[in-house]
Amino acid sequence: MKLWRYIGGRLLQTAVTLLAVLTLMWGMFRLIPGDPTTVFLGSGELPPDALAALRHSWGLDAPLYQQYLDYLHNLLTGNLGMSFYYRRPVLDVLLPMLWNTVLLMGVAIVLATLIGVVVGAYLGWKRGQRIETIGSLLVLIPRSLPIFWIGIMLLMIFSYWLGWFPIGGLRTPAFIPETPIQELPGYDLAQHMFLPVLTSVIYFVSDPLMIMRTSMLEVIEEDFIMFARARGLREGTVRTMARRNAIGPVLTYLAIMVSFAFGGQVLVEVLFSWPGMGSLMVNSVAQRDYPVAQAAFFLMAVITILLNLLIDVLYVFIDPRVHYD
Amino acid sequence: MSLLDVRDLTVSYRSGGTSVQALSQVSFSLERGEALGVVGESGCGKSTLAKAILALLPRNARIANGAVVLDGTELSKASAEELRQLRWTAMAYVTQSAMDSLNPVARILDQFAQTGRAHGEKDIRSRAEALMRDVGLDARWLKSFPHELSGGMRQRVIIALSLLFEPPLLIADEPTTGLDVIVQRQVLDLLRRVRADYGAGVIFISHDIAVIAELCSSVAVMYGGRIVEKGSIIDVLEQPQHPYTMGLKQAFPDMRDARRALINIPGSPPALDRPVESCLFAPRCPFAQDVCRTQPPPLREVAGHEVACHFAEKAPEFRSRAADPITWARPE
Amino acid sequence: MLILVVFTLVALAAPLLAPYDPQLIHRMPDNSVAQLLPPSSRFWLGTTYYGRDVLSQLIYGSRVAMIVGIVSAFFITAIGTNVGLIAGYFGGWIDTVLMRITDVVFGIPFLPFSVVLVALLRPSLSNIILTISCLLWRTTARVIRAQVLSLRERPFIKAAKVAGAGSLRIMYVHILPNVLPMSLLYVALGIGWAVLAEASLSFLGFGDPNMLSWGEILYQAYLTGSFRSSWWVVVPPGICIALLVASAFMIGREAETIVNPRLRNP
Repeated sequence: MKLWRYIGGRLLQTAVTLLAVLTLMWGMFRLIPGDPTTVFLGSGELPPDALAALRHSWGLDAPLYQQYLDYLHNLLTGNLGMSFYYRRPVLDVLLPMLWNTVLLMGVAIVLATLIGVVVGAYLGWKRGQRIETIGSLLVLIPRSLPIFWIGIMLLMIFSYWLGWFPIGGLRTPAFIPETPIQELPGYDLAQHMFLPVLTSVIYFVSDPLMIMRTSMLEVIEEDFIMFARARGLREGTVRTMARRNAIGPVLTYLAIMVSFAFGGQVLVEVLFSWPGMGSLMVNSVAQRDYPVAQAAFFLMAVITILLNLLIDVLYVFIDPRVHYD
Repeated sequence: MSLLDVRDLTVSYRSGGTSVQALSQVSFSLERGEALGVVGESGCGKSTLAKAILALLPRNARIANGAVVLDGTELSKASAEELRQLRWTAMAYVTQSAMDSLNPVARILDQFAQTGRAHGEKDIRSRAEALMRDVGLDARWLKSFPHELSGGMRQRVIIALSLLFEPPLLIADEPTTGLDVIVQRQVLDLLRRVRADYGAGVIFISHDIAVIAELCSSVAVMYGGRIVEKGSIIDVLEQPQHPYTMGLKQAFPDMRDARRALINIPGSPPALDRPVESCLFAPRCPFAQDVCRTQPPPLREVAGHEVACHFAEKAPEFRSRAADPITWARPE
Repeated sequence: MLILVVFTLVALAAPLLAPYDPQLIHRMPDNSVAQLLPPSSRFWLGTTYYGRDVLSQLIYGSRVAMIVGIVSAFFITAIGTNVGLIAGYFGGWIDTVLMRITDVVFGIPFLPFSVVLVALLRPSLSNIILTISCLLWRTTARVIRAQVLSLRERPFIKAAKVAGAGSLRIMYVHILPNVLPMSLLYVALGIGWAVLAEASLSFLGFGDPNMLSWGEILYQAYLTGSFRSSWWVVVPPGICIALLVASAFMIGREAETIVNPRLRNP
């Protein structure tokens, strides 16, 4: 029963946080000097009274709190407004990009976490031996490099010099498979995905790795590890036991990682011309297409917050010792 | 052949830049069905002894010298796999703080099963249930996680686990510390039954001389990593020959003589980071003489049991002086 | 640590060290623009697409990096520590409110938000610093609060209370010195984060157009496509960023070993 109360509490918290973020964003966008119609004003397209009519149709002359309520109402009904740039509903523009982003980011995060956990556990287990010291230092390097620099380097080496991978984009237009391998479904996509995913993984792997390593170091000192050996359990079994106990903090970190991941995702998408929410957001901000920018940002925030919630709830199942208060 | 033979065991720890000699030339043997008590204050090396026998020393410890022979097998020369197989089947360990010795994320039954699987036993469920009952715990606790049990219950689970393969050697390191007296009584009864039922040899480590007196037939008194007195429990307790043992005895209340003053051995245990050429107890011993400060006393047989004191022959005189608290009082 | 000092010195002495004015466009003897020249004795690290000396740009860029890094780190730590202190010490509804605010800030993905913020305001160095400080204090706050929570129950705090010390005094005179090591750790980390953040923003084109930073160098390389052929434009700025950030993290790691003795060698 306590479990449900805990989940309920977290849900409530999440809702409040979401609302706060939404309000914050809405407020920010309203603070922009000028309003969306200035886009049209500058180009001299419309005479003043047409402008006024436009403003009215967009509800921009209503009192502020009215606009806020309208905004919330729209969100709940899935109406994210119209894109200025594309002259289409924002939702139409956003949705296909969303899946592209989720694909790239999802694969990268999963890979980075898996590799990080495995290598981190290994390094932690072998504390004090040479391979551990070297490994730890080595890991610090990608963390300090800007993610887009890693991307640029990879592009330079693998796309331009070696020509192994395409320069960017999602797919090759009118792709004609030439070899049997190329005929495998998803080959083109995979080829395009490889470098961006590699870039992301290189960048994201160091944190879960170090956290897992530190956690392992602490777990190894615990009494139950010694007792497990005393019972005659095989080293491999003891190691698995240690891993299982050490993985908790990594999970907690995942929540934070997602928030950073979006940042990295934006950079990777811009660099590799990957049509996803990140590049969409950057472009729309540059183009002053505020509804799109707002919606993209909102979506990212929502995903981050929801994932936080999910991880909090999952953690209870991972570590039975957690209290529900 | 003895069940367990420990010869000249010397263990040192490396910490920071210094080396601490936790055990120095410890020797004793244990027969089947015998219960040996090891008594001494914190830091005297009791736990190190247990871990050294079981080959469970941490990474920064080294067996500098000596050998441990279990049922004819020299453990120090055994391979890692041989050791692993011997563990729990031939020798089991009841740890000092059983609170944290169980895997926090696994249910109790799984931990039994895991131990069984490691030694080739597939189905130990019924055995686990029987053992739980033996230690006085309801079998339904097998489904729980360790944190759902109280400290005393967890201690009993550890003991149940230790009996899984009816090991001939059982080392219990402070198994009753931190338990209330009722549970303490149960644990002691259980250990006694274990000896009786299948003749396990028990090494019972404690700082509580009263508990040892209850359970054990022989006792070894440790100080500063060495055995300073060893013999049958009656001999050692009724007629201690080492000043430290005398002090220990005087420090515990005696039900028969409620008015006897309790003494406190002044001073603190020795730091073991430097090799010393003297009796380690000399700084705190009220009977110390010059020779005590310059030569370490060897363990020798005097009047029925072994003791490491230059003046063991004077033991009867010391004993009567030791009964008087003034002897132990130090000028400040 | 050494690296950090080197960079500070370079940043301060930039005008003296740089062989050329970084904005100066150089020309060849035949008066064409000295574009994308590989490293030579005249231009140690070659020239950019626009004919500017890479080395000079690098040296001047260190100034931006250091300013952004240190100032942002300072603000991040100042805000974060104070929030953590207040929340942790007072508990109750103050704690809840502050923690909810922190949660909201945590829910906002950093880079997208800073892109939006910097674009809304003018892209300038102070705005970038503002943006970074506005968001990155959250981790520091949570960590400091956790520490304060455990410190709060310690006897010496209770003794101070009994002696009649006011809350402010307890917080700043008694607790603060104890969380200071942790704060300093986050100053070090903060420098690293800030430098990376600034480089990222510049790379996306939202950097301060008046100040040349390492991220800007990379941005221009990307825009002009010069990275396809000229490694000397791309590699050095990245390495500089990496070195600076790595040294910041390493200092942080050393500080962490001091703060958390369990991580020391056995």
